[in-house]
Amino acid sequence: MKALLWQGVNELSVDEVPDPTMRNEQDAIIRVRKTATCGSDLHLLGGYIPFMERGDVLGHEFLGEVVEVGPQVRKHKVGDRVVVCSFVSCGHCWYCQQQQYSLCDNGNTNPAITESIWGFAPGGCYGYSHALGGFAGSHAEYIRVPYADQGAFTVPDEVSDERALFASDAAPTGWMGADLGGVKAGDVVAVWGAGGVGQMAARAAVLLGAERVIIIDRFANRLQMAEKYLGVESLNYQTQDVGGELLERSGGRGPDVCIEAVGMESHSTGPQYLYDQVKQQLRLESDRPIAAREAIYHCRKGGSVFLLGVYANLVDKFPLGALMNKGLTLRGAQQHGHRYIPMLLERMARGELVTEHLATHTMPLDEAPHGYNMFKNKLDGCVRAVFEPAR
Amino acid sequence: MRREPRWHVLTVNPARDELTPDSPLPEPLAGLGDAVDVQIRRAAGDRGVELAVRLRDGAQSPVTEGVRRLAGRDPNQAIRAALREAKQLLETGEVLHPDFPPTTQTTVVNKPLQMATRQGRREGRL
Ligand SMILES: NC(=O)c1ccc[n+]([C@@H]2O[C@H](COP(=O)([O-])OP(=O)(O)OC[C@H]3O[C@@H](n4cnc5c(N)ncnc54)[C@H](O)[C@@H]3O)[C@@H](O)[C@H]2O)c1
Ligand SMILES: [Zn+2]
Ligand SMILES: [Zn+2]
Repeated sequence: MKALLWQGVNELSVDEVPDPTMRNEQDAIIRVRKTATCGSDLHLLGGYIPFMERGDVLGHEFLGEVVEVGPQVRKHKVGDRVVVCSFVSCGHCWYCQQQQYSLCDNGNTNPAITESIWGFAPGGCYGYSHALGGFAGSHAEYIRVPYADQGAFTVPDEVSDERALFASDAAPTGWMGADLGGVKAGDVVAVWGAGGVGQMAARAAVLLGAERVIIIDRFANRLQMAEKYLGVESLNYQTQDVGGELLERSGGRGPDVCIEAVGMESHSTGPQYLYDQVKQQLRLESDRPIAAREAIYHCRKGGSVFLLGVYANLVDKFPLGALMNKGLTLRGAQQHGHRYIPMLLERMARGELVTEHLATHTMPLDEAPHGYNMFKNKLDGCVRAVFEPAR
Repeated sequence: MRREPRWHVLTVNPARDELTPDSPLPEPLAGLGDAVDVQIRRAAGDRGVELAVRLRDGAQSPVTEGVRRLAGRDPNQAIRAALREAKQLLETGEVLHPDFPPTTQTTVVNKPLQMATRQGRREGRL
């Protein structure tokens, strides 16, 4: 089959690879209909997560059709149209039963790598390096889905492929940020990053009852998109004073919940950007945490900060003083999609959650390297490139 | 300092299968034979059942057939892998396998990571 392969830092190709095979009785094989780029892929592409092998298939946000099921798969049959959670979780371990699915004990076949870096291993993720299980990604004609009853969700007829696709990753990630960040009715919420993840977090905050939701980025097209489709306010950190605006818009209190949806390749206009970039290049710091620092700084006293952006290892100049003295709650997680996807599909069916505007560029899989170039460099207003392997 | 053989412990969520101190050992652990001591005990706070495994004194010597067969070079790796597999069998009914065939090739560039990954299926903390 055809697949998009990681060939080295910032090097991609579309090539032939062997078809996936059934490896476990709870597996399914899915024919991929749509598969999207995600900001997380950029960290792999740029070599910030050094556990990729030449020839690994990228991609973890996808939707498709079941073409084969193992003897222990009960919920799905051949022909089902399913959206699949980007994380691989067993559904039976203690973490899965606490609905902390991305922390699954049984979803990663190479747990020692992350155990060594982080102390314990989270679950697996498709197309997300050998540190997170080494599972082949979804930018391919077919993909193997382990624990298919847990991770694959039948899409209701009323929801289009275009909309349901983002129930795989961006929408549940955003929802988790607002939910576990503790957004309540009447809150003022600030979201750093207006990519797919930040936009979905902002929409989730609205649906959870926040009174004002402010999304922060520097790309005017992304900010306009958020205003138009999500019903939120925007803030351009390149042309506006973020601190002053946030104070003014929150009655001088500061946002109750600050959600960071940027991650370790954060950008900034100030001198700290150069500082972090140099340190990152010299491998003295693995991650650039600029948006995380800001979220902590601007959050109200006693407020809550949730990190959706992915970090790999170490950061520098972390504002522990602000965190401690302001009595903040800081949390982060890889997404617990299994917990939210059925609810999100219902909201999509009711029209409360629209996502299709994120797919700014749809193309055949053969053009995926070009799609990644546009997505990485935010060219032509690209928010998510979506590949169709069958086209 | 003499290195005592350490207990390797992990907790099995009991929801699927009952495991008591008298149950027969799950297959991957039974396979280690008398090279190891095994304890099965209730976990604190109803978290399930703790499985603890330790290499028997003297079992590291090359004469111990069971260990040599199962462990390759490092018996601790075999213990950790057996514990993980036992837990997966008890919790999910099967042992999760990596994708096959791989889409990567063994090249000079890939080799170090491929070795680390193979190691990663066995070593690490539990
Ligand atoms: N937790 C999870 O499970 C999970 C799931 C998916 C993605 N992610 C992570 O979420 C992050 C965002 O993903 P995405 O797909 O939306 O990526 P994206 O690249 O499309 O969007 C990131 C946005 O952040 C903006 N940005 C950069 N620096 C900023 C700053 N200092 N302040 C405000 N905005 C800034 C960029 O302009 C861009 O619009 C990534 O780190 C990704 O790895 C996490
Ligand atoms: Zn993602
Ligand atoms: Zn699990």
